[in-house]
Amino acid sequence: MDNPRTPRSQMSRRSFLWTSGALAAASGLGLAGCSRPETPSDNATGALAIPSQGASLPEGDVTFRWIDTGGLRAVYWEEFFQPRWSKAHPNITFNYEAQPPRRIAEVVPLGIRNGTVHDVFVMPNTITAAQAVAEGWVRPLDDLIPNFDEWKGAFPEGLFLEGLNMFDGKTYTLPIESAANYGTALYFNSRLMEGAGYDPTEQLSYDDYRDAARKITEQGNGQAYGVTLGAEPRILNRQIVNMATIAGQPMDEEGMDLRTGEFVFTSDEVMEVIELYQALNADGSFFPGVVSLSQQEAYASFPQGNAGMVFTGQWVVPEWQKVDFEFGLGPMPSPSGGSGNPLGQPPVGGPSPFVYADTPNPEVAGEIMSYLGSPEGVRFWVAFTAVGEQPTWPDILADRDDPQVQRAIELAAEAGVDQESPEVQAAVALGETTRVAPQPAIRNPEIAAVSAVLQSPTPSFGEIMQAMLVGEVGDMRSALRDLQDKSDRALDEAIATVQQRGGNVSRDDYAFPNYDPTEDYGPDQYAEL
Amino acid sequence: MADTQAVARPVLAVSGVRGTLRGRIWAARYCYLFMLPALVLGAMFTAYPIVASYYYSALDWSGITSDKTFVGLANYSRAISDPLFWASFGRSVTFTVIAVPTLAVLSFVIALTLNAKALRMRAIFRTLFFLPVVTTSAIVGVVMSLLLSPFNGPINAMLLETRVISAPIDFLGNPDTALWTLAMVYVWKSLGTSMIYWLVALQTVPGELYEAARTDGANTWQVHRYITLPAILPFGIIIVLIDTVQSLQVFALVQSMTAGGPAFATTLVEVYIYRLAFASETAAPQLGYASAVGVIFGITVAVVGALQAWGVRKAHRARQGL
Amino acid sequence: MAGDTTTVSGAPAPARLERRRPTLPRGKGRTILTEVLLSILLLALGTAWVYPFLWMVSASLKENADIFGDRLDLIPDAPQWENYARAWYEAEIGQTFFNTLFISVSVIAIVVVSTGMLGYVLGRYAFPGRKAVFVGLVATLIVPEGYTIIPIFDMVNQLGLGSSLFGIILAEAGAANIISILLFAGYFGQLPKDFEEAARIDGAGFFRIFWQVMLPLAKPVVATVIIMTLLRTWNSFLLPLVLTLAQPELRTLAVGVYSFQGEHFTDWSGMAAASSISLLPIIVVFLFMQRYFIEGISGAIRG
Repeated sequence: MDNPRTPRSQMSRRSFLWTSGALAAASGLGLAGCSRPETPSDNATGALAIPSQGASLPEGDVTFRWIDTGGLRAVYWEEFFQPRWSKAHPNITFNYEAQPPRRIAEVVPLGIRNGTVHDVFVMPNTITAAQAVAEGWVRPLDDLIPNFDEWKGAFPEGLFLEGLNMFDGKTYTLPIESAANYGTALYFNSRLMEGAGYDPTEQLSYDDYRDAARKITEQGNGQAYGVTLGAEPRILNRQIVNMATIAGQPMDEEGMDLRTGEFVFTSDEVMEVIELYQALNADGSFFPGVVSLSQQEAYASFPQGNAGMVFTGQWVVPEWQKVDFEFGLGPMPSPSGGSGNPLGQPPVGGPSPFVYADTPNPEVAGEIMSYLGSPEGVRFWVAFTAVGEQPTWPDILADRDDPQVQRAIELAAEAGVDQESPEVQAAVALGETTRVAPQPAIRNPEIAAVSAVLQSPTPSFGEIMQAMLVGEVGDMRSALRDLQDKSDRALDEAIATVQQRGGNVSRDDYAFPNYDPTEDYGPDQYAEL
Repeated sequence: MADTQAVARPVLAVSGVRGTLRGRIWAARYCYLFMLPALVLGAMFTAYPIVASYYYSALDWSGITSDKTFVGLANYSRAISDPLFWASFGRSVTFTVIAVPTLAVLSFVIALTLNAKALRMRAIFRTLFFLPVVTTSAIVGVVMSLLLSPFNGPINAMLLETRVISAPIDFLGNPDTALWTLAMVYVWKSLGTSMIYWLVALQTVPGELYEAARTDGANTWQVHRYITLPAILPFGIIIVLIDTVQSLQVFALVQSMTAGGPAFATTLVEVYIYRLAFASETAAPQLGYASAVGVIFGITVAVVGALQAWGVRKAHRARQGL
Repeated sequence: MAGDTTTVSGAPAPARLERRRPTLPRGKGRTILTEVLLSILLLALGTAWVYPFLWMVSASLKENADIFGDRLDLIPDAPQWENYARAWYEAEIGQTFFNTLFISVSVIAIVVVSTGMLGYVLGRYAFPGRKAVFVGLVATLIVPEGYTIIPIFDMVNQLGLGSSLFGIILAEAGAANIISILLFAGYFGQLPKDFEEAARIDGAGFFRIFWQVMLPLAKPVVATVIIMTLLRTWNSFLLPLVLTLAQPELRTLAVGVYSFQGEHFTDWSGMAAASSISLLPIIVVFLFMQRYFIEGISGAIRG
């Protein structure tokens, strides 16, 4: 590697998971010189180099740029991929950059505007993939990936769907990440929970949850409280929606019951969750000032032992494992404990990588995407990035006797992602309890146009929840009824707009009568409609 | 808007003035030449973007995709009947009404104190008061939430100890206190800037005036009242104008401290605009509408400012006429 | 001549300018006591005032886990100097420092000269169109920003500077300098008429008067404009980021500082360390410049 800045390679970067966004491009270049001792088995396990996929790669020096939202992905790219790639292709500099989602939303559209966007980028959350395809931002993988049909055929069934990652029959991204994670699991401080005498690894009832919170608060004597939250509206929204789902009222994040296509903000299950939050608030079980705490502050301070419980996702696991802190995790509470319904998730998750339409190096994009989607590629990707996420290839890491699996797990553990630890295993197990929910945009890809014009009401559900916690909403029931009406109106308006523009969409596209929240919703179910 | 004409009344006539406009323009050719670099740059990177945002405000446009629809004044009529916009407008005004007088007075007093030649270590003091200006906003967000926290926060501890309050206050989490708290943090963060402006202004007071006053036996208060204040008044108007405009446009600090919450209590206009253009959780981005909101806000502020300036000027004239 | 120094009303007849600059007269013991008390008061206030800054420096030496642990304790248990090593590499301070320096120095030079010239003319001369320029300037001050990034970005690209430091420099130098202009105009407007008259008698031309007489007189404003412009360009984030997408080697310090922000976790100690390093030059410049804030016109004339 001809990068002059080799000194950085001396640094162990493993412990720096915090810096999910830290990899401003070019940063990893020096890693090439990083000579982690290679075990002899590396060749056999594929961990030594990125195997060639057969794309006709450029001969001259080129730089290939990739941007995504970082986190554990950054660990994969920096710790695993980059050094190996540069060994295999010294003339192709792989330049990785991570930015948080809101930054992606600012940067990518501007980069498209003047043609300087990265060769591969993740879709900003301000635009749907369907829009980006229609705008000509991205190009399909069909002619980029060598032996495309074979490659695609190796994926498990039901991951490539029109309206999700395929548009007009072309495939635009690969389903490398599963959405099947449990992003609102109940994480608890083991020491404080022991004092309260509950075991949240078994699903608690609302009463037990409330009681545990009260006990922790009492025993904390002003230095520990029952529950903390990242009380940002978006997070509150997800918590309530998921608890209502568990309680038997399936809801997607927009608050819709996809069995009927109706918004269900005023359902009894939702009201019950809200009453639980109100009770916690009245008990004084919330960490003081919880509403002004950002989720980052809440997660970062949780290991200090100031709060007993928090709903969050598997991303906290590697961070908390780094500190001297014992924690456990379990499902969210259900009204009477145990036997809650599973959470519903889209079939594929994560911000997916797309290839820029005008990339000067499409072959490189094809080569890398091809590797990422190969069994070996998925194996290492999942080992590094899928903490508690059910991988899209469910059994990809199951065979722990496989030397490649062993090596992947070993390398990931060195980088701080310990698949064998009880916490990660618990998170994986929770992730596996989730079920695939239907998606209107898969049933009718034109629904993407509705999402693009939809102006959901303000204040949103999460904002109303936040206002409730600070005592700004007197009558929740009427506030939610109002929200329900406005949501209906907004959706109907958006549908009408798209219809006027000639789109073939209707409110019926949102109703899936054959949806059973306890089962995965797959191609067969779509076919039944 | 301040009375800028009064602020910088030209002291010189251009030499060789002739009666005709052309003659006067020709005589002032160097003036135009001098203005050119700043005006060209400003036209390109300050004025043009503003004009462009006026154009955007007439579009139904997300700011991202290529489909723009010209909708005329539709965004404006929507903004005028948008209660969230007017609520954020009201908060911006409240914020400014709290922050600017506090900031102006406090920074003036500190500048006056630190301007005295007699004070040793004034360089250090000036630096101390300037440091908040350079402190990274994202970090200010965290440290302030620790300082103000109702959980072991030192400010609450102090107030409890001195029995000013009987229970901790959730300064940033209570909708009744959040805006005030934010305004105070803003004063803290921008005081250094304002202080520098005042220090500059104080340099325009010729020292001879002080000496003369001293000779006449004036005390410190009288010196400031009759010499300093009147001498720097024109400058003071500029400074208050700058402070006002900047406090109406505060954004990064709010974003890092409260992100507009809780329950919209600190959603100022700039936060609302950002939310419309980029950050809404639920709604698609709408740059066109965000632009319209920005334009209405700007124009309203400008009109109010102009009326104010007009009033000040009129009062000024009336006083001179006496 | 000396009589109409300023347009200020109500001021006593000004003394002649050649006189020595006086200091405020100091009494004996009482004033010294006052000064000591004042200094103590200021020091106490000042220390409280910079607490968050000190916290940042202290956080830069703590482990991330401890930042929310000791919370407000400023003294780290065991200074983590490796935070600085990490900040240096992660924020690429070695590389970005010179980009930032180059951008900042260029922007400052352009801003000081161009706004100084404009402020000078506006502050001191009556000419047709002056009022219009003033109104235009103040109007641009009023309109909120925030989403002007698209037109600025397009403009830079139109100029063909979409991927170079010069694009950033021009955009930064042209954006929002109204405050500098107003400060210059205000300051020059307050200067007595004598200066130009005297210089003109010496045979100096318009440009020379500005460059050799007026601009040096405006040291406090120049110092202010330098610091405020430095602060702005040094910390400018989004514009440098989007204009250097294709050439990460042109990135600036602030981009590095913000790179510690992640989606769920932020590396606070790394960010604090990177901030501390990157803010050091600004503080040094401020310490150096601040003496000009008290070097007023009277002082300048004497020489």
